[in-house]
Amino acid sequence: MKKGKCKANCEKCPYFKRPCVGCVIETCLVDKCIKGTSYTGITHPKSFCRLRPYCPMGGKDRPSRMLIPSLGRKQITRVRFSKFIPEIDITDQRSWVWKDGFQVSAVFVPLWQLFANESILSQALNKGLHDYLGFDGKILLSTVMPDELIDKLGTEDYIRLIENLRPDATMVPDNYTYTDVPLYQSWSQTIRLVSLANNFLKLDIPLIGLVKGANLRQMDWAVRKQVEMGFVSFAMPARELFEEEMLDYFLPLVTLALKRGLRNDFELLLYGVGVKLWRYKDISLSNLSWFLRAKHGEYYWDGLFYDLRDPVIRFEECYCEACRGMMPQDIIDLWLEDKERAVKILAFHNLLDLSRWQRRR
Amino acid sequence: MGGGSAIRQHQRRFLQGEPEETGRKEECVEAYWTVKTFGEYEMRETKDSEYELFKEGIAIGTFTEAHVEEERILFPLSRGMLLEVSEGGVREIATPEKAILMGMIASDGSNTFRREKRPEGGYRTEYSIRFYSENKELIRIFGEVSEKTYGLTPHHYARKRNGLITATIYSKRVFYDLLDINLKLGPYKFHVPVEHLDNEGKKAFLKGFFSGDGNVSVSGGRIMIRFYSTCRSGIEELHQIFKDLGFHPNEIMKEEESRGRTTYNFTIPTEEHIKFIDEIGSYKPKHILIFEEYKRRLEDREKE
Repeated sequence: MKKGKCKANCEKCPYFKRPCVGCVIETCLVDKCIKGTSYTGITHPKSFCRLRPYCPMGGKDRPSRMLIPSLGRKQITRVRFSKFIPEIDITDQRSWVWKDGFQVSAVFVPLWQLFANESILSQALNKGLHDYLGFDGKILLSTVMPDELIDKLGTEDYIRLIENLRPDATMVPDNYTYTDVPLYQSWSQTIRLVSLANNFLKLDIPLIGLVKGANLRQMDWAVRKQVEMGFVSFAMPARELFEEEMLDYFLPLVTLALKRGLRNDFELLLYGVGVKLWRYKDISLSNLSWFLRAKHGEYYWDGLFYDLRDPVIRFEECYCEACRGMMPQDIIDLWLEDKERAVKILAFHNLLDLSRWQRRR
Repeated sequence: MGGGSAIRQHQRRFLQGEPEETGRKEECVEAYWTVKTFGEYEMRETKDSEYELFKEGIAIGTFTEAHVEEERILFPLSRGMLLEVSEGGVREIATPEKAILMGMIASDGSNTFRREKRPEGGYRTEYSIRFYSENKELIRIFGEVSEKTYGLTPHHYARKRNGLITATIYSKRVFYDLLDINLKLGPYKFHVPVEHLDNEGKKAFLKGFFSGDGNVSVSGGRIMIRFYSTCRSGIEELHQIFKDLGFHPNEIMKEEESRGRTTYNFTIPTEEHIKFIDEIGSYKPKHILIFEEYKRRLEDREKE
């Protein structure tokens, strides 16, 4: 292919000497815009267009080529993911379940939330995350964050933050790879991910590689490069793939790519999926849904969520550490008397349900 | 964070990503001029008379309308909200109409849902936002502000026994909108969403609230303006926003009623009655008549 659908000259692509399959995607937003359909906040209005550097008539040069670094290698310790690792809301102490005497061995702390709250960030930087949260379990730092923050942070920023926050393990820096924008952008981002992962090798804590890409080829490439560097623990941000019903297509292929490089000596965690996927029992799960749903009065049962008043579960007693024989109706009654207490019990119940890997019925 | 489709990401995060027919393009030229800057925020107007908001050079929003003031810029959002950009940063505030609506619901309204099991399985949920009053004018005002805020006309139900009218909006979208700001914490309990109110919004909220749960009594040519509720935290918040607006409300008093109910109330001092009437006022015809009569008497007294 010499030219993309949008008429960009693919022969001048700095990433591939021979033109790759290029933009076979039917949904490319640049192609759509040229043909007459633009999308608000992305390619419309004109001066707002985020894809101008990737558009053959955008009047802007493409961002300079991202160079693939010479990769280092290191023996990276496994993080040892449990089956379910709750993500917490650092701005809402109701999600800090250990404060109420509930036991939890590891949590994910989202780095972007610290940026959204300056006072929490400065306290956490001063004390370190363990002291700030009063938590002696394992703290895993999640770097999954909004695109505008991704663009702002460089390696030095991340390393300075991690040295002060002192988590027990960290993800490598996140990127963005959309399926409906020109591949030049998602390849640049994929190379950036590998490049920053390489820079992270200088950290002395266990590292979590990221499985990301706009297509299987990018995911496979990112995984292979991280495996070459010695990564054995991986997280796959999968909310969008799950919502777009693409996860079942990608996940077996990602697992295959990992097995090719590491046999069975790796661990994989799905990040951001709000229900339990029984068919992937070997894969760990992490989300904040256990807490978000509790705030809205929703109750997990066998990894699926229900309204507390749903007759399917309303009068089912639960003997988990949080409920101790209570049924959802009892939580409703408690909600009317003491909402905070009810939310905390419900949240911990949800967390335990997502951690359980035996069906109740 | 971004993965999957950029359109879906924009729809979820910014309520954008809607398709626009812009015609086939042979060329594409960027044109804009900067309207105003506030610290790290910059507002640009495009050639197509649309407005874009940039933070540190990164585009964070696009709007078809903008209202530029000396100290701030307001961009209309959906559901009766405005994006306020000022030196203090960015926040979402309610339009005066929405603030009135919130005040009326906080005083004499409800925001609830009811779930019924369907015979065929699953359930049906009815989300309703209600305002109760015997006064047709207040019902009319409630209808007007709900149309302006949400584009929805309430249904009316009149109770023959006592003349109580219930204006009801059936909408899941409105229910969750009001739930997210914690407006109604339970029956007779309310919260003043002060973080979403500028001074104009605070006044509108107070006017909406006062039209429902406000009281003006007349005795010997004098009036007493009183706010009351069984919700202590709510009445404290109302007391505070009066202070924010430069009033000096009297202390909150606790009253045990004969039926065993506890109410909390505060009054507006006499010297601030005219300020209250001019800046806040009420939609209740009875209150308006008393205020007009009070002002007329004061004017007569001054002439004498």
